[in-house]
Amino acid sequence: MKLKPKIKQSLHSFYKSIEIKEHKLSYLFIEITQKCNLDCLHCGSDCKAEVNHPELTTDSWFKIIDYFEQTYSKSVAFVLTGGEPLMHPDIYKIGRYIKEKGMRWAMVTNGIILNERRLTKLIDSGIYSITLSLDGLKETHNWLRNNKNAFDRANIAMSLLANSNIAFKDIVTCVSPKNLHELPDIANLLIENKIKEWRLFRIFPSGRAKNNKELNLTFEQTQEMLQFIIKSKKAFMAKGLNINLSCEGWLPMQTDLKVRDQPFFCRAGVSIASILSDGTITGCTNNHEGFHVGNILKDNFSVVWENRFDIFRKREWLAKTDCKNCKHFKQCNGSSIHLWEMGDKKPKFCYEVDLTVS
Amino acid sequence: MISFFKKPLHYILTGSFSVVFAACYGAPMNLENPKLIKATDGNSTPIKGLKVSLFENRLNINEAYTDQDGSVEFYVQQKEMYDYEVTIEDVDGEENGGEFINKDVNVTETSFVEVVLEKKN
Repeated sequence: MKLKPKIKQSLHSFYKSIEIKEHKLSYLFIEITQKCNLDCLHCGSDCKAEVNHPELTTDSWFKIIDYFEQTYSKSVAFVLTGGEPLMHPDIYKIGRYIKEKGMRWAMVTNGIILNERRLTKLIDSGIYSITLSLDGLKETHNWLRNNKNAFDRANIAMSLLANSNIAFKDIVTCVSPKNLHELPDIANLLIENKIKEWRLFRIFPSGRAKNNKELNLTFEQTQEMLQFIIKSKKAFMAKGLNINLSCEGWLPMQTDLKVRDQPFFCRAGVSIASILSDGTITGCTNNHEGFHVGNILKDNFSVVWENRFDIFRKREWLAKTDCKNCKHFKQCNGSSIHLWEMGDKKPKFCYEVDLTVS
Repeated sequence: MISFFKKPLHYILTGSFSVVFAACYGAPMNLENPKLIKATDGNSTPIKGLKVSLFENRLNINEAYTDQDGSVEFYVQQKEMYDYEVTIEDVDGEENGGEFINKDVNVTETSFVEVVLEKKN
């Protein structure tokens, strides 16, 4: 159906208002560990080989899974994240437990230790979806991942994934000034490996990437990335690769539907929640501390979900920010939560307005 | 009541009923449009314990066993380029109501399908 972008924008706002009113939990991140086998320059969680705080035990995760099975619909999907989730010795047990409860689970991995044996164990544990990170061609990926073997290992993992019978699998790429011009070559590499889905991110300005200008795309570079998607989406789709911009960042509808299959909607705290490795409850795992709304060790999740997530859903705090004077404010409504630190006057980045000159 | 408008709205906006998204740095999941398959015998009695395999463009991507209600549920990407088919197999012989003849069903265009299996003679 061909509709004018303004009409689509209004319909989308209506759609979002229904989803917000319902706030049906559908997607739960569980950060099973912050341990990681890499030391990436851009890590948003500042993950390392060792963790300095106590983490939830496997038995605690079982109890949490029981709770969600009993309290929410079985359609809630679990996404195991980290750190590197494969570093958790009980990842298969946790995954299998979710599967045996009749629910789906997925994982995001850097692929460093994803070999055939581990992939078989994941599949046997009922994994439904895997996302693998690939941040450039060999030199760039290894630089960003801070490891000379990272690309070769990710490449092996990509090939294993492509030939597996996992229902959903995709590749994500954090776009930085160093790999921006490699995007067509990366696309061709994915096509060679029979990968069908590719998502592009800007690097989140948090954790180790917070103050590293070498990693963050400028406003102009971000527009260049969007233009790459707009210009090449159809051509790569014809070769079997679907390119999408990640769920970060509001864009006007006429642009949005050229770079994403589904229009922007920050679902953090609307249909998505996260439980971090220390029990913290929040929207998405990379939300700033100001958006941490409870802890599973002392709070009843459903009470928190019903009563403390208004900062995600109603966003009344935006009235105190510079965004309220923006012409896009009504549609954008502050864009992605993870771009904000509570108390800031403006987001860390805006896809529509260059904040460095406004 | 207002929720009734959600799916049509989503279809108008995206050309698909399917809500597939990957939250931030997360893995993709389909939040809507499950493929629900229910298997019964000729007397409308649900058949438990059937092995149901899901094929996406002829690649086996998932399998599950029917529950007490004779049902299994899969979530798929549901894009134009994908074709979905299920094969339903009786793998427990005479258990659970007798031995049934296997059946293949295309489920590309439907989110719910009730499949009636014939008993083996």
